[in-house]
Amino acid sequence: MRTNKDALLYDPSMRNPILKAFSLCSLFVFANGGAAAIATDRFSTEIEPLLEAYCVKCHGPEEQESNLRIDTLDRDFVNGRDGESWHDMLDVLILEDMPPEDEDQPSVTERAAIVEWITDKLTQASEIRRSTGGQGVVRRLTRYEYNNTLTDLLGVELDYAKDLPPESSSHDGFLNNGSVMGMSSMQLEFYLKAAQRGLSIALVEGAAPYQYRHWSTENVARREAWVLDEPHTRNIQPGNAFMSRILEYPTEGAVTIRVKAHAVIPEGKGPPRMRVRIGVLADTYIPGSQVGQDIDVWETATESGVYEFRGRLEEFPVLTTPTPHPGLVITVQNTYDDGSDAIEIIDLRLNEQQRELNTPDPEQPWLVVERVEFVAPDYAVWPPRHHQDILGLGQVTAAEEEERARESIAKFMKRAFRRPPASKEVDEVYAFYNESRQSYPTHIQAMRQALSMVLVSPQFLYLMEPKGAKPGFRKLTPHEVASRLSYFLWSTMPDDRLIELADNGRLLKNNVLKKEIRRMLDAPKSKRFVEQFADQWLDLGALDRVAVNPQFYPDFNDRVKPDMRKESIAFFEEVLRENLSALNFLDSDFAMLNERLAKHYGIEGVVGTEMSRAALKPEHRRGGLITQASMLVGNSTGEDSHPIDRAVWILDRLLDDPPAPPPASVPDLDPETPGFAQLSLKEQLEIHRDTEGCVSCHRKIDPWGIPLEHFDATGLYRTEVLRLTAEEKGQARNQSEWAPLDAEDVMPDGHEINGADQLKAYLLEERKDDFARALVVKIAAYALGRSIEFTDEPIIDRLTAQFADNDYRLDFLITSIVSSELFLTR
Amino acid sequence: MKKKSWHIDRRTFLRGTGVALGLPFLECMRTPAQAAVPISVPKRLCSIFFPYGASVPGEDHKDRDWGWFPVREGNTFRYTKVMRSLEPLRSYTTVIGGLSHPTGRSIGGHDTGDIFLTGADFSGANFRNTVSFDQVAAAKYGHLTRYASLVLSSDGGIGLPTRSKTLSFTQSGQPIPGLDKPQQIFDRLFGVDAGTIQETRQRLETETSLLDRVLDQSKSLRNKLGAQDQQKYDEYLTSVRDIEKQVARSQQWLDVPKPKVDASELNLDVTTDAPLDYMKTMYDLMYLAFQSDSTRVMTYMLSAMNGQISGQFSRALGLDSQHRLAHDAGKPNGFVNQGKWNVCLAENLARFLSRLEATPEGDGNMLDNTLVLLGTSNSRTHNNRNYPLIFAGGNSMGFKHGQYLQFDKEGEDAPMSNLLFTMLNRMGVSDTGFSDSTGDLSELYV
Repeated sequence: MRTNKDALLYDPSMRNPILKAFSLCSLFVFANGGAAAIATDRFSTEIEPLLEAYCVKCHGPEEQESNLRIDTLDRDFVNGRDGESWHDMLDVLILEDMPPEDEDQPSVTERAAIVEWITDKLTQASEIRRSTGGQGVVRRLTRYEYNNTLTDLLGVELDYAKDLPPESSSHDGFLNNGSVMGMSSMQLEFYLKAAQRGLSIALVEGAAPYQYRHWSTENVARREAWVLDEPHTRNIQPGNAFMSRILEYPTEGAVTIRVKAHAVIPEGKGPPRMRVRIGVLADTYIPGSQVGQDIDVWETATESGVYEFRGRLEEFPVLTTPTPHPGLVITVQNTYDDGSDAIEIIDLRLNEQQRELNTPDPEQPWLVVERVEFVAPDYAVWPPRHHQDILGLGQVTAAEEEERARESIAKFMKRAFRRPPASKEVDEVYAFYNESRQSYPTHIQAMRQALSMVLVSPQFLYLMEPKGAKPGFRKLTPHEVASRLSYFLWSTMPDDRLIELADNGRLLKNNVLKKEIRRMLDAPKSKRFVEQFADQWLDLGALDRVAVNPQFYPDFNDRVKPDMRKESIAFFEEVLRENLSALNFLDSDFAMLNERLAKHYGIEGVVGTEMSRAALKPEHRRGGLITQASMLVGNSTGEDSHPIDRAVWILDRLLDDPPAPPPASVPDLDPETPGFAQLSLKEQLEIHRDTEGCVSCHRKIDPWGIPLEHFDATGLYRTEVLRLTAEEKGQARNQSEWAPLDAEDVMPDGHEINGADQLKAYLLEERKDDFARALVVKIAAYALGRSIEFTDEPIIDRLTAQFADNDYRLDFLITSIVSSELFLTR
Repeated sequence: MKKKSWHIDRRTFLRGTGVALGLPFLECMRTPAQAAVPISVPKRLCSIFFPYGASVPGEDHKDRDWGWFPVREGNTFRYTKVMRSLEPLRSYTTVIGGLSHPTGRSIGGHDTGDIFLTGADFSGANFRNTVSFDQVAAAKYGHLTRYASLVLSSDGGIGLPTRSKTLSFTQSGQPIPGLDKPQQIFDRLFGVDAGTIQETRQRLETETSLLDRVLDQSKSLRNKLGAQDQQKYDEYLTSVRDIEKQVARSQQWLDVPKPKVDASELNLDVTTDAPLDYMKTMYDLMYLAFQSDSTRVMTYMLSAMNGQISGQFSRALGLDSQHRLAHDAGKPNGFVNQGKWNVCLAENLARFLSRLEATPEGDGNMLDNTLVLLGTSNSRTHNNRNYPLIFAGGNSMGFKHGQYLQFDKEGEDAPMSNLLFTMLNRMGVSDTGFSDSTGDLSELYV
């Protein structure tokens, strides 16, 4: 989207074809004609005379220094072959290598004009090249979606995606962009393996297996040989754990762990938090894997709670061969952590003595474990529900096999393809069943083969949307809409109700669609949209790419980094669920914090591990996204702020107007400048900006990052900044140099901004519309699995206006995107 | 943790004296009749990449000794601190400068990793890659081993065009995802299928039929898609065809047990959180893959341009991220810091080469029969010329090492593809050129 807004200003005629009628014709027709037309206009009036005056003498008809002739360069940056020559020209103009010193020099504004023109043309060209003409490209499921989908389809929760290669973000930051996702034989091989494994577990044969049930009330040592005089305490302080050891256990099947426990919570502290692991093998130091999720325990001694954790034993490190130290260990740990030094994280693998905390710290919340129960394989009926859901009830007799097979295949295919399968499609799978039935001894084994064929079919792996009978856009079928909707809000296949509404066509009725969106947002599965979208929109992964340097921040506690990510996700969720205005993303009078993060920020009165809403006061200097630690730390160097990265983040993520990437051969900040290290970063940047070629871009970038200079690389407020030269690194902190700090800058439009508060006010007062539009673009891109392009502009404009008229409510925006032709046609 | 059941026989193996014991060739394993035929030693190819260039201070710079390139050209060159670890391997190693892909010279400074082994033209509107030279070699020799090639990557997957996380591209230019998990790689190479051979045979037969049917059915679907979708969809169809070939290959190899290797020294649970151990393990797996003749062609994207994981590897040495090291090269101590990271790269390579050299094969050792290329597609960051390269091994193919060669003439680099072609040519893969090659580099061989 970004550059076209600017590019369009140069020639209004370019906008007309889109505004007059949202043309469905191919983008390329338009791009060729339209782009060339502007090129000529602005080029001939403004740029060409400059090139004539300063360049053509040596690079023209007479002479062609360096084999370059400028007056005949192709001005079509998209299809022409001279893009790279223009690029080279841009570099030498920025670096002021050209024109040579002894020739006439263009004025500052003249040079800037050429630089800007070439930059715009290059960016625009790259955008057009990426364009898919407003069409989504057929996209496969992402790893995340694939895992959720197989889990729903087979009814068995396994890590199906563990072998699949990771996906990469598209240039606009999303993982579900169809044009970016690849396919390869190796990927397909892993799909096939995952399907075979899943089906061999989901469909069972034989009699019900023996069920193991154990319970224990004693906190024992990890190894049987380590006999304790008396069991360890059951009052588990933070960091410590309760262990239960089982000598006889199965190695596969569903497992349920039930923990009866209560909490002892001292005044002013949060509740203890429970984490259950299976598989600390008695004879190794390898910790087990977590089963289920962490949970806060609030119940007191008088009304203990019983908590259930479910998983599949196949997913845990369970020992199957004899060992000198037999046993499967279940660990119940108190993971409460307020971030203070009082919390000692015990390495449960190494030191049994450390666990002997028979007098736990009374100032910390205790998890009192009363009883741990183990049941595996855990099933209510046999064959288990997931088996019956796929193959139906009851034994299949030889006489029934063919009919039942066909029935089950058709039913399974409807769910896997997310639409009723054509009878020819069913025939193909059924034929494979028949073939397999000749070589496999049982109906069930042959069914496993047949269904694995379904699971590597393109109709399952891709969101297929065939072309219409006529060229151009067509309306989506109800089933296609159900799929889009479900992957948008739930990251998985449609549920039965959505499919039913698609079957009878009612889903496309406006009021039904709206009701369904509401239902989907209210369902727990919508948490996936919240997490996936917030994570990708805000690039929360940046946190993992920055390591905070302890030499600069000796007090920083790395345990708080995951909370920073959670804060931004919880903040997005709060705005969505509470129907708040999206302008809260720019500034807000509340934050979503837990105890550990609040302590980091220096905000009092927040307890517990879960994120909860906390009122903010001006002196906290927080509110909105740009002063959240996820953004400030993620866009730092780990030693200092990175005002350029922060600026680019704001421009890209909040305003959808990312600056063009720096041209090749940009010189680094020149450390040879006398006293360079002692200058504030802003002053250092100003030296950089003194190069006229750089100034045209950096004037538009730097003012977005400089006002956040009061926030250091851990996201905390500061009034001066620690500076170490390369030689000084490794020296003690007290010998280091403190430099002044300057958070004042001037926006390209002349607004003077000093500090984060003024930047937020500026965003709210001057750039509210741009922000709203950016958010529309980002959510639409995620919903559609493709980049938003300039052919989409009229719809985006309309959606933005409606979004603003409806108090910037996200649920409204989601509904209007889904109801728009962007979502309902292709 | 799973108990490893693989036998500890590698050391016995290495101590073996007879030539025939040197390697478990397919040729001598399949039938006694074939074993009687004289053994031709295998020819192998391995390429490793890292991003953003290397430390390249000027000749008179005070930190010249932290530079990648040796002092003095020719065979009297002196290694700098960076490659000191390669000194014992001098007769197996050539340091090369003055090469670059002409197609890559004017594209973005960080856009060149994709074409390192392909030489594809990424300028203009084109982001479609072409076949990488390792896959050309795999097409020739791949049928001799269980896997035609092994594609590794610290970041895993394929990444984005211009920021690929793999070095290898198929005949049609599709990226081949790199494997990044040591356990997964090990299982693929050496893991034993559950079940009997009969069961595996039946599974493979079923898979063949399944894939056949899927392919038939998906071909007919293609016509129902729009033009743009069809292009994308073809990736799927190609993948089904390729996996069919892989299944057919597995069937051929069914009766040959997977090689048994000693896993006790391997840390297969290691992740990229411990970069130094991780790189060591990846190189160990590469050695084992060659040593067991599981494949003869490998690439390893040790670190990718914009590799969000691998870009941080240099931090394990207490240095900045690789990108920052490269950009700060001009600052005080910049070349020293970048040089320290380069030392680490060279040491890892030296260890790998030494292991190959220590393994007897034919009349010589494995390194004699293995071509190894380590390098990057920038010299200084953003400068897409004068690729810093180390080329090693293949002495049995006539390569003459112990040199430092600069190939630029009058300030213009020679095409990188000339090196790639020379390697393929000496391996007996191609004699007509590769990509945009204009000739070969005869200075490299006798």
